[in-house]
Amino acid sequence: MGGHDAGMEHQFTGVSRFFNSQTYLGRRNCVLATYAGVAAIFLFFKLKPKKQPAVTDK
Amino acid sequence: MTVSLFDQFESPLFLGIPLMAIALVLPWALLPKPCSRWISGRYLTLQNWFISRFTHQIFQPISHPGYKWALLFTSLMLFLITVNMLGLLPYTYTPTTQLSVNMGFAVPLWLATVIIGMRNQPSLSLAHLLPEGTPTPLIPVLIIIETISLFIRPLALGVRLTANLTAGHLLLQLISLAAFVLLPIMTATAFLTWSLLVLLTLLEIAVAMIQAYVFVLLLSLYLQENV
Repeated sequence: MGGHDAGMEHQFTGVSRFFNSQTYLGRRNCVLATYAGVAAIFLFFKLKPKKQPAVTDK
Repeated sequence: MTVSLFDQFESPLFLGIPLMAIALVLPWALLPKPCSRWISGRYLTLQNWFISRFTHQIFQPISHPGYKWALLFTSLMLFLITVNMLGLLPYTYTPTTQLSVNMGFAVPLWLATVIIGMRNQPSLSLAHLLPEGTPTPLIPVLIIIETISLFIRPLALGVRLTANLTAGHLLLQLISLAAFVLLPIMTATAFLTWSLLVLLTLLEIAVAMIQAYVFVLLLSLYLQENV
């Protein structure tokens, strides 16, 4: 997809090629990764088993 | 006898019949329709000039696929400006002081722009949620902030129009009430209050037109991002 960031991909290497704040692809992937991270944190706390108080004999 | 300042914002009923429908239809009844004559009259020419200038102004930065929104935006602008100006007449009801009316305009139109963006260019729409050149540590925070601001847009659109018109009408009623009450007691102060009322009325005329323009302008900006 042509745009004002066309041709900037060669500046980035490694992970930053796919996750950066300059190219459309990088920005899109950062957004998706942030949403996935928020969803993961939400699911972690939602599915975490609640600690039950120990039952002691009186 | 207490005067309720908010009675003017209640939806009017006449013999149990809601008059909101008449208030909403009134701009359609008042504005001139295209005639079959070769040269139209002054009123219609003025309206055509206004529509032409407004459409050119709003759609200049928007790309070609967005031009199909021209009829919707122009008719929305004409409707809002007419309703707002009619509401400045004494003892009239202004539908755009109701949050329900303004949200009824804002939410579907905003949602349409978002859906169009997600459908036609999903990568670009998602990429807009992260400003270009953001420092790396700030990326997650800014994405969350931009997402929240995206969902607040329709609320801000509706509440902006409602609050501006409601506040203006309230001020007009308060100051006119003060001028009327002060007239037999302190005539000079009443004259000063009346002068303030005249200035405020001029301001409210400007606000009525500007708020209608801002509503449509912001919608066009949201469309520009997504089309």
